[in-house]
Amino acid sequence: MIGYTCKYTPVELLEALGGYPVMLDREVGDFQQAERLTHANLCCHAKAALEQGGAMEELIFTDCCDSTRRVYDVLRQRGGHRFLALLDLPHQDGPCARARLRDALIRLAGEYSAHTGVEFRRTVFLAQCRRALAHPLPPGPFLAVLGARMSRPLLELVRAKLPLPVADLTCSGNRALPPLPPGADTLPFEDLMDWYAGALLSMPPCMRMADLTGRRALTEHPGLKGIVYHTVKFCDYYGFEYAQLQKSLSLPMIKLESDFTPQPAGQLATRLEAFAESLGLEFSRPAAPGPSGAGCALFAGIDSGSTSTNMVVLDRERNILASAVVRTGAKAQNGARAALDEVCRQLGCGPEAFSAVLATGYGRGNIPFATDARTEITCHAKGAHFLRPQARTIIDIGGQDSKVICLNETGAVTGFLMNDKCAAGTGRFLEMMARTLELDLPEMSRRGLEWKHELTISSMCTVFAESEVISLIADNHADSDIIHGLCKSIAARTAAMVSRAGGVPPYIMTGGVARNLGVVRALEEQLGAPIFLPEEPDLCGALGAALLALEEQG
Amino acid sequence: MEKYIEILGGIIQRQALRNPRAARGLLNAAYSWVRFSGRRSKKPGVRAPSDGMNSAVAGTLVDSFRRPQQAVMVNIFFPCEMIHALGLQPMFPEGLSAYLSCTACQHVFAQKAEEAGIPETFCSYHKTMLGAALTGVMPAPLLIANTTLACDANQLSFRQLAGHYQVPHAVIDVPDQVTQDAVDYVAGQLRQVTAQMEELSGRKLDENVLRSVIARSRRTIQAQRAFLDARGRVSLNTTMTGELCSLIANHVMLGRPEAEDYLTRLLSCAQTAPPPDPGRRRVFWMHTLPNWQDSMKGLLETDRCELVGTDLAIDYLGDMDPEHPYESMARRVVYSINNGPALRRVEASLTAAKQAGAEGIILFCHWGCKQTMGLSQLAKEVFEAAGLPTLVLDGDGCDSRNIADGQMATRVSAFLEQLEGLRP
Repeated sequence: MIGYTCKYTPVELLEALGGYPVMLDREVGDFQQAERLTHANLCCHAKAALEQGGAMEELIFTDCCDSTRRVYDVLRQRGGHRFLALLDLPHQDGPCARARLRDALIRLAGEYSAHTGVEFRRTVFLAQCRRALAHPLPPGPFLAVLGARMSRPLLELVRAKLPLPVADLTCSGNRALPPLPPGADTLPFEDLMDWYAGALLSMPPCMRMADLTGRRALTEHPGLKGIVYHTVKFCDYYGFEYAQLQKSLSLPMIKLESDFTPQPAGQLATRLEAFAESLGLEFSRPAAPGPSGAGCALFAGIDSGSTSTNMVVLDRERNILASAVVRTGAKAQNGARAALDEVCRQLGCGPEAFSAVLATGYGRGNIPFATDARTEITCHAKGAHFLRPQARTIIDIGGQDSKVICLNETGAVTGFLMNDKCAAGTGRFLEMMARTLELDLPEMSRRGLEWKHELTISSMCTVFAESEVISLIADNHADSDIIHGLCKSIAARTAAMVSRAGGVPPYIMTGGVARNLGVVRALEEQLGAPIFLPEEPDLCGALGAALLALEEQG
Repeated sequence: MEKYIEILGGIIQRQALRNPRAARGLLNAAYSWVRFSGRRSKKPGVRAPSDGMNSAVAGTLVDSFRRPQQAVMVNIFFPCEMIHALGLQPMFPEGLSAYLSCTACQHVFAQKAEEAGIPETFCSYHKTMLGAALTGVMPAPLLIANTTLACDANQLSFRQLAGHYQVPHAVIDVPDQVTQDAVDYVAGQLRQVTAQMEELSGRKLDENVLRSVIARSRRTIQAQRAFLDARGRVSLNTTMTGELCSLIANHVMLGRPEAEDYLTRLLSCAQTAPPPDPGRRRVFWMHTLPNWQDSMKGLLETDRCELVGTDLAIDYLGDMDPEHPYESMARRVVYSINNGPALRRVEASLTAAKQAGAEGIILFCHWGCKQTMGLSQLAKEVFEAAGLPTLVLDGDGCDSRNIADGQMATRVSAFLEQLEGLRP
């Protein structure tokens, strides 16, 4: 087996020389070895390749990016591979570049043949090239994963979660060769390699190539109904294309970022299901045994979040009859049961009084009495539109994530962004900073408005920001000024997210952090527009869920 | 950082979003002052030549702000002799980013780029320069031209800039293979891009002028080699900014009289400087330097430490041949220690560090630079096996948002203590 990472790898040639090429696309548990040999901030795919490739006897890399070059360098220095090569891949695709690649292929063939002891087998090569002929995209409507390579488990998850066929058009997928040249059976080896070099360079270009014209076709297929745009942490190539597509593409698109480790299933499911919802392609959900009863007129929404579980009960006229905010605790089910008990206590009824209970939030799949579930994106949109029909952008900052959701005039979601695996700019960030300042959250909110001197917390990372705060405390700065600096830091991060999502005023803010007026004021300053605050910003998701329950069951 | 610079930086940041032309005007005024004052510097030792070179670099920024249609936007590794010979101005945005950070106004530009979707993990020099373009502070040039050396960021940023400005864009593809074939391949591309410059500017390149520019590059590199020969025997009052000046003199400014003058003056300082100061630890630096950071200045530019060189300033020290200008420029790029396997750069740095009499090496992992981060542990292993203690230091050459200042200061301070403890 010879491990490889890039679609430009000449796999047909390697097979003709006795090799068995295997794409390094697995996820790894951690990057212990890779970070010991390189650096934590190297592209996560490259680190995963280093973890996987370290154990393989044969490896070939292409000169495709800085991180890959360094993985090759490190493995070469460490030694121990029976065959290790780096193919010098041109950035251009003109005649000179093609000739350079041809020569590189001929050199590689000589080296690999000497290693395997297998002479070039033309029949195998030609058969493999025929197998790699351009294959059609799925017939009928389909979705595509575009951008940086995706791990195999993540691609399988995406395919399982989305209701249409999903084509892999990432930098490591979408590999196809043109038809063989006339007389391929008898062409001299050098001429055959010249054709092969041209064939490899004619594939839809990845972002490291100089001419990207060929990438346009990827998004112009009439059957394409939506795009899952994938980026890899610390790979910068595809963030650029995503930013450009956001401006120019009319198709629905969602961005996923991963790091070649197993991804948190809950957050991924939320994003993918919300994406499917925005496409109008919902999943069929088995009806859960719930507390519904004939003739009941109560509709409930329950939002099971990381910190709190919130519940709202409506009647048919959309009046809020009861609500509850309880701590989620260690188990989502327990928090949900406590919220249900609380609203039943307020209403003086039992669970059988509810016609429908729609669940949302990370724990939505684990609420036994829920009759249906939706993502918090859809529910927040529903709730916010109900509370403030003029709002076009929802800024939701909860305990463990932050979201920006864009709405149209009917309240339908037109786009959204969520933060990634990072606590910066979330409620957890404020909690950590409050602990450092030895304040509780309400006190922190109050003190943050009493600032006198402008301070800047420049670090974007929670851990670095904490050390900055400690330095400021040591310098005897007033805690109100430090809190204001923290609020500005969250506001700057959030405003950038609003801008990336294409958010426009009027704004509405939901989630627990909306209770911190220091953050709200700083954000208003950054956005240059006022932000509407609902009376109970924590309940927006649950309210939206209750409204959806009413619409669907009532 | 001086209070007045912080105030100026604050004003520029506000103006960058409201009135980019006004922000550009303020930067122009600030850098005109750097140009004016640097020429007249009377500081002792190597600080006056550094100020002189700094003045010349500030001058390129001012000129490209004032006459952008006579400027070619290039990356720092792009060989610029044909630009000098055509009487055009090289405009290198990485340099602008470094200047913006020293003017305390880089945040607004980095944030603007991030708002436009540029990844937070991207190199901050490139992110800042993209923000400078997106705000409208950096004007559109005549042409954008970049090499694929030395990093991926070039491929992304300069393409993005060309799209933003809607100006022609040329890419010089530098193969990873360090061979004569690769030199010929690059030389061909350099001829093409020169023709493109002629066409766009309406100027005809005089081959004799190009030869004389290459001859000046040759003399400059010869002066640099002589300086490096002497460096290990003397003590100099170097600064991080001075090391960056050497980097620029050996790249974008190579071929200009200011670069030759700078290296000649450095050599002259070295010839009359005192022997190594036993009280100062001699540190060789790898990669770019955070010259905006007061805490680092407080450690590296004092009577406790002496910076004795940096690898980026010496990435090619071969002779240039005026009779083969394109091949000479191409050779400089292909044979740069930043091209090919990491071990080339590591071994060349080790040789340079030893030649400069270094006692230790700081390998600076600038935010977003995968090239350097990726080789950091390999380099540390090689350097320490050769007896040179090495500190791998995470930081940022221009964006304070990505660093933990206290941690960095502690690490560098501890490293100097380590070197002090190792003195016989």
